[in-house]
Amino acid sequence: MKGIFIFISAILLILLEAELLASQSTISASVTVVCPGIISIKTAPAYIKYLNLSLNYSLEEAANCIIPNATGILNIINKANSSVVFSKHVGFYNVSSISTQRLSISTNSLPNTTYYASLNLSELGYAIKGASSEFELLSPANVVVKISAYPSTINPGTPISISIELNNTGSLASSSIGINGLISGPQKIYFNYLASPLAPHQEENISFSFSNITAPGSYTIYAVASYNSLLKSSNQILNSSSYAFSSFLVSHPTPSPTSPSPSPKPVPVPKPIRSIPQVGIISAPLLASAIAGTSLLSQLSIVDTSNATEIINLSVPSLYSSMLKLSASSFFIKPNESVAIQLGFFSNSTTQSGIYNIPINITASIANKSSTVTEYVQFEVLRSRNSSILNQLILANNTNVADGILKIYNPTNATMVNVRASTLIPKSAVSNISQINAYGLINNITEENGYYVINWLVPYLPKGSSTYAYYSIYKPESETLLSSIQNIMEVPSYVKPSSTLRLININVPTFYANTTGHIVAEELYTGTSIQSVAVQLLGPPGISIVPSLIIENASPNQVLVQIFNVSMLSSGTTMLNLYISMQGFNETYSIPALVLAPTTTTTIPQTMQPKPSSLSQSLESALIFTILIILIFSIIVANRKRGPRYSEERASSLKEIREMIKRE
Amino acid sequence: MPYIMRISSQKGGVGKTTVAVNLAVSLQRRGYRTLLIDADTANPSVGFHLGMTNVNVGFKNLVKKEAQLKDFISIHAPSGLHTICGTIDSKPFTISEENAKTIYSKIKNTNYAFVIVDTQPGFTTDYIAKVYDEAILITTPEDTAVASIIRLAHSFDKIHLKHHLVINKIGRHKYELHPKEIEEAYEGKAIGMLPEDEIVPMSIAEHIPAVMLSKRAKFSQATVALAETYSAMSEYTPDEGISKVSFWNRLWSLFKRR
Repeated sequence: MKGIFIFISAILLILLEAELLASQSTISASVTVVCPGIISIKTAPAYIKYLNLSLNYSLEEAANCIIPNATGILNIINKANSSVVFSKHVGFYNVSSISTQRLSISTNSLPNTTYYASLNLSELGYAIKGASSEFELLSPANVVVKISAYPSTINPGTPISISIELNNTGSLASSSIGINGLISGPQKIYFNYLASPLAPHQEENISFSFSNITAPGSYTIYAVASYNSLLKSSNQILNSSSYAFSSFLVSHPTPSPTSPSPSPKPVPVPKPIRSIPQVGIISAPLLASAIAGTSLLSQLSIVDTSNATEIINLSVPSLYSSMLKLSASSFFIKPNESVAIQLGFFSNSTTQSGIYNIPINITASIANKSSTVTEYVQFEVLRSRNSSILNQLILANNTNVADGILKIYNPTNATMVNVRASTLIPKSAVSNISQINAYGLINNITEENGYYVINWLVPYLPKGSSTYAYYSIYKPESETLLSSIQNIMEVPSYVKPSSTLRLININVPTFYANTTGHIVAEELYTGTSIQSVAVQLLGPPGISIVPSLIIENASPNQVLVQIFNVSMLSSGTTMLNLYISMQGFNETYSIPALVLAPTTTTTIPQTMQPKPSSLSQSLESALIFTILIILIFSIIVANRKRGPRYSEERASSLKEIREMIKRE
Repeated sequence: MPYIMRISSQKGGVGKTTVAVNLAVSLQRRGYRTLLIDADTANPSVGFHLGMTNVNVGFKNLVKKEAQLKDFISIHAPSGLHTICGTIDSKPFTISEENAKTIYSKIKNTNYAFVIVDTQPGFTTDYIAKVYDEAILITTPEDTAVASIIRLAHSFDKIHLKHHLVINKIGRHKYELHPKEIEEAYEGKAIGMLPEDEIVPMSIAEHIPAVMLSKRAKFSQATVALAETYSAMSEYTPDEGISKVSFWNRLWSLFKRR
């Protein structure tokens, strides 16, 4: 045994010697001179979320030489879980003194936590000592505004108290908060106030009292809070605003009481059940696009879904009042009557490009009761020709036909269904409606308010995709008027309170036992505001579903898609349950899934062999059984022998220790 | 009112957290609403046992009174156990007596059947008798661990805090103390005897409590027996608890494991 050990040790020593010799000869054969460098990385101690994160990193040579080529990776790492949230290959070339580079990335998708930026470079395969810098991502000030009016109904000229609550729910303090208020109704009153800065989680209440409201009717109060978040260390500033609204009613003056005269007591008449104000939205533009400096028209259709005549007040927060104009802001509407309000979207050359989510507050009032719904419309202001609805009209020389190509593009992050686009051709540009020919998409041509309108219908437009429509105008009357053709894109959102969310597709594959398949569920959400939707797929015990629960935010007219990975164990029909829930909505769907037995491989028939005799089989079984019994018995005996034995000596020594402790 | 138990030892490495986690999971799986608190302010490790190291709020925030008690409770999804984890990135800190009393008065008002508090090794102050219903003393079959447990039991006797003994890591080695020797020194019967089992290091590496990783392991069976002892003492009616697994499903899982 010892001899074998010495022999193996000797062989190992020889091999180690040979390895050392080989490595020494390699080093002496390829001596590489590397110019030493120092890496540095500079970040601010903190950055504001939603603003870009900028940092500088540099490489400095440290021995009066030139670093020809140093490459490596710059990582931004979440300190809490060490996950890399951003990674970039960087390179420095011919660095003779110091070379600095800058990185700027968006922080929108990063959680608020501590990160560190780390840079590692290598020069000619040799690592330069890396550098890192730590920083924190902070959420900006977020001032939540709440507004209330007390009492909710006043007599003309009596005081009303308006209370505005401000609460900073962000991680940074806000600047002074400018409040611009408007009391809108038969009388208009503007008010302003400058509130002091709010620290994180600090609240402030401001009260106003007005006693000069004399015109009866329904009023809406709006308050827009404008403020900014400042982070000196990173020299960052983020402007923000938030708003709230509430309503109250100024009742009609009651006639002065006549001189008291004896009269029989009136018999009390049961009061009629009061109508509840309700308004439904028939259609609204989901996205209207226009190049900065131009304007376009669209419409909002609403219906009185109550059983009484309602006063409707429409308003747009003052922040957006220059961008969206309404053709009417206050009117009466009878039960089941529908009204279409023209929406004018305006932008000027200085309007910043992007998608604006503009709220339209619709307040319906019956007597002193009112209810408000908010419809959001998206207005896309474009800077370039890369529009969501792009129109190219070509009037070829020496012809009397103008050919138009319409590109309809879905710039949103959601699939759109039943997209409607309208091409508005001024009537005076064309002699007759029959001179317009439209094709490529489902369409009809109508005549409305001085325009010939081509109504296009796109049944389904996935996110980021585009489709094309074509039209021709024969014998155009005016070339100049052709240039004023407008295009609007809208998605009608039909609101049915009971079915704003519905399952439109469920794809269940044929499963095989012990394999995984995908179940795909698709729902269409036709609500008017963003809602959180939870979809859960559950099965009987033994079936693995990953993920089982998916929660996502649904935007108006979005098709939600969930993919569940399902592993089935045994064959047969398995009943799965799909639960879809949203605020005020709960549906359960039973989904039968067919699970087939796993596919079997073909076996090659074997040649016939003599069967072993039953006697030899039973002898063999008996032998195995005896060996097993002996084995188990010996394990039990071995276990019994193992383990500690009780020792009086040790026990008394422990007792002594116990007594010593007690005496202390 | 919940029954609050403190898992104690004066010596490190005796398996306090292992016992705390597995006892808590066993009670929860038997249908008793259980809250496990990692109050080891120096070296919190419940998160490692439960695979919840990414939880970034916990006992530290509770002590700092940063929000309500319910805001710091995380749920261990596989077992349903409620837990207030120790935050791994926090520096060691101390808790004032007043602060501890406030925290435990809030806990007393919850509807948990059991609250198990995993504490750090070492001595403690008199006020703990007022906040805990019982202390479980953990020892291993070694002289040093037993001596420290005797010391702790003596100090708990002085402040009139009820305690029970659990002997952990019983390994059947010739050189270790016999359980009877430990019980005689402790002057009482051990409420639980947990064997040394390789399922324990495996469960820590897998971040799955041993009682969930293998129900047949000796350690798991002994822990479940300990949970049964405590549940028999509880005045609470358990919820439905873990679903019964049919014979065929057990057989199938046996084949699957092989």
